[in-house]
Amino acid sequence: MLFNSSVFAIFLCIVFCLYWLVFKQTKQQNVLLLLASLFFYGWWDWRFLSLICFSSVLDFAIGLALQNTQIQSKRKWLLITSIVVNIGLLFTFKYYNFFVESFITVFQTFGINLNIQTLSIILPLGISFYTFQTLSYTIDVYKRVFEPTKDIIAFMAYISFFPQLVAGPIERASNLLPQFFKKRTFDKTFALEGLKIMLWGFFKKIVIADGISVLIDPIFKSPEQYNGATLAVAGMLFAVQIYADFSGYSEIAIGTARLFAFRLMKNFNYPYFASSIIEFWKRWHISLTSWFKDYIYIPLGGNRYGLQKQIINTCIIFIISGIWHGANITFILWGIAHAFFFIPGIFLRKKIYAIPAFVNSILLIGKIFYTNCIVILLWFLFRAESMKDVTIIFSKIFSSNIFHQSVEFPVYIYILTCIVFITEWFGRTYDFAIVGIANKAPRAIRWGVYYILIYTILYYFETPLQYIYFQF
Amino acid sequence: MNGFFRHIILFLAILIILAIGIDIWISSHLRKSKSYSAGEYAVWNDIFADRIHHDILIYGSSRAWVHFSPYIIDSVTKLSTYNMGLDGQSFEVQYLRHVKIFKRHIPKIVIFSLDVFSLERDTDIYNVEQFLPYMPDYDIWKYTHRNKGFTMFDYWLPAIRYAGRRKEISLAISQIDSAQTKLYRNKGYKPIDAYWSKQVEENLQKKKERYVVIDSTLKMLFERCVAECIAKQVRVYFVYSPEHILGQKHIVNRDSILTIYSQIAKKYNVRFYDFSSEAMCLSTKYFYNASHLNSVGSELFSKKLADSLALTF
Repeated sequence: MLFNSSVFAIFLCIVFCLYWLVFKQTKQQNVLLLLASLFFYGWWDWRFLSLICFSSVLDFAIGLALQNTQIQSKRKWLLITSIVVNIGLLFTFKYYNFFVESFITVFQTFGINLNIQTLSIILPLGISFYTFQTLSYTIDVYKRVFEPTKDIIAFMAYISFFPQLVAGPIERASNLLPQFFKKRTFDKTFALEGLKIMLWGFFKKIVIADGISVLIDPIFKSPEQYNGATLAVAGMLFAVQIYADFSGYSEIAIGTARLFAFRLMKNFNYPYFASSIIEFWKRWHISLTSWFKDYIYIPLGGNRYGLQKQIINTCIIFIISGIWHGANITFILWGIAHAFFFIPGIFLRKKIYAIPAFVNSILLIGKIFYTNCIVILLWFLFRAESMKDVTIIFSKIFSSNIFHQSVEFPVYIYILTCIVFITEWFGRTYDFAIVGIANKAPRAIRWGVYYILIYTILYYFETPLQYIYFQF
Repeated sequence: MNGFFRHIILFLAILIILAIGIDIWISSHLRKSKSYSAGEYAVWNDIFADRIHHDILIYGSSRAWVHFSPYIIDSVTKLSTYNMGLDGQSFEVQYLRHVKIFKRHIPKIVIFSLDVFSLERDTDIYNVEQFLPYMPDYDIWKYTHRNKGFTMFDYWLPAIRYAGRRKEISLAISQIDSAQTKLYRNKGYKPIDAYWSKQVEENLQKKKERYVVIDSTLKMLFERCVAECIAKQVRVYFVYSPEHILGQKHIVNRDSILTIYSQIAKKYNVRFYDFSSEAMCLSTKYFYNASHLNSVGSELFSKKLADSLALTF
């Protein structure tokens, strides 16, 4: 079920009314949320419900087993079981074909022809997200930072919580799970803020992301047919698209959760206003980045064993991040390239001397510009469908071909993009720009803006398009 | 909680009032378009505004609206005629027009323009844009809701059906001053000034033979429509208008389809005129493709038909 579909609108209204008007006890509400979440997921493909249930039950049982045993070696084996099974499932569904094909290619270069079959595997929606969520629970229980729950309904509801099930934010048990045990009281302001956040998310997804998608998808499908200037503009638009698509999804998820009195973590903190690559990664897909930091980077040693080790650990994280995004060499290269631009930042972190405020502002704009140039350039690796396409795109962008006349994109897309970024710039001190700015305005203006947003969404709403991050 | 619901209800009430205003504005302006959506708005407008009080109505698909000239039939038979042919529609949507018109006016004569495709179930409804300005209507819902692009919201909530329809909204805006636009269809009829070309011939040669699967529910609906006309004392005629000989060959079961029509005609004692073996079906000068007559052909055919009809009065 897509957020941007009429079915979801009906589903949300029904669940919301049942949740607050019929099932008023916490346990009943948890059961409702679990059933609603399974229905939400099953709407896409009911066969994969078994997978999410299996993952949840396994980690629930391992959590209890970890609590019941004090023998370290046994605890370690339990953790390894959880990691192997969860990552194994992820590997099978997401990476099996990629590794088999890569294996065959490597052997072919040495003249050995292998006859290994690839499988026709459907990628279960959200598997990368809920696998990480369930893993974080087991690891936290293993590290004794978190007490395992004995309530399987609450645990399963936490894993499959429908607002963030298919594309995050990847919640930690320590943040989300306790909310399933607290008595939920309806807070009008909190719920209304949720609706505002959802509205802004829908605007970004339907108007900006889907609007751009229609324009640039054909360009990335056959980049050889376009000149460097067109590809460069398409790259910039893709940067806007992926942000509007994914942050839009996250905001709809966060807003939806608020309707049920749940507070999800923030997933984006205005990443395109970052003044360095390091800062960009603190602002982009925060739930995933912090997951990598807490569960891979720090256990590997983080920055505790010298600069050399820190650089190696950083590279590992970015390679894993690339692989997480997709089973394609382009994603791995995207991760490596980010590491390449991230690492120099580690050396340049310390401020050497004080500079006047106005110079600092100019410097800040320059840094933001530089950071965005790098990020946009690297998005080409992310968006290109193959290495061949990457070569074509870069060879055209870094040649005189860039000075050719670009294909003309409709002006409205630039205007709407500017509206989004100007709004977010002025609201950047708030968690959610729309809430921060709206709360300052009188009701008549505020509502006027909401109506304009709604009608703009309707004007641009066509066939619901999938969210980019669903494929991950 | 009550405060929240009050807040939302107030917000939605204003939203719906605005939506109703927007809906009425877009629909009323879109209806003014004389050529968009194959000019069907002109016919729907005539139906909904109760402007059709004609003696003869012509039912059918695209072969009806480009073949039957109401002006020629009028002049020969001295009976007012209106062409209700619909471009690219199976009998389901043709029946919708019949339902809408019979609620307002019972004609003296109904001519069913027959073809081989009307009783075939199409996967989706063609040219659905024609229904947009008239959609909050039970009959339209009943005969079009199977269309994949429509949801319940499109029929019963204001403005929702215009979501994402930027072309139609722009068209509605451009119709603010549309009085000067020339009418695309006159009394539902659209003569086509196009001619047989080499391209048509090449396409025909490439075309593979096809078996048309007759849908039993559409066949029943067709029969029901004939029965309803008879019950209302309406005189019914079946007319298979000219079809170029090269086009006739491509439908493997053409004869059996014509037999179905013949059987229905016999059952209800309906006169059946088959013009598909007329001499004009051998000449390309009357056609712009294998199944459609051009304006020259349609005028000749309409004259022939009108003469035949006049003999029966």
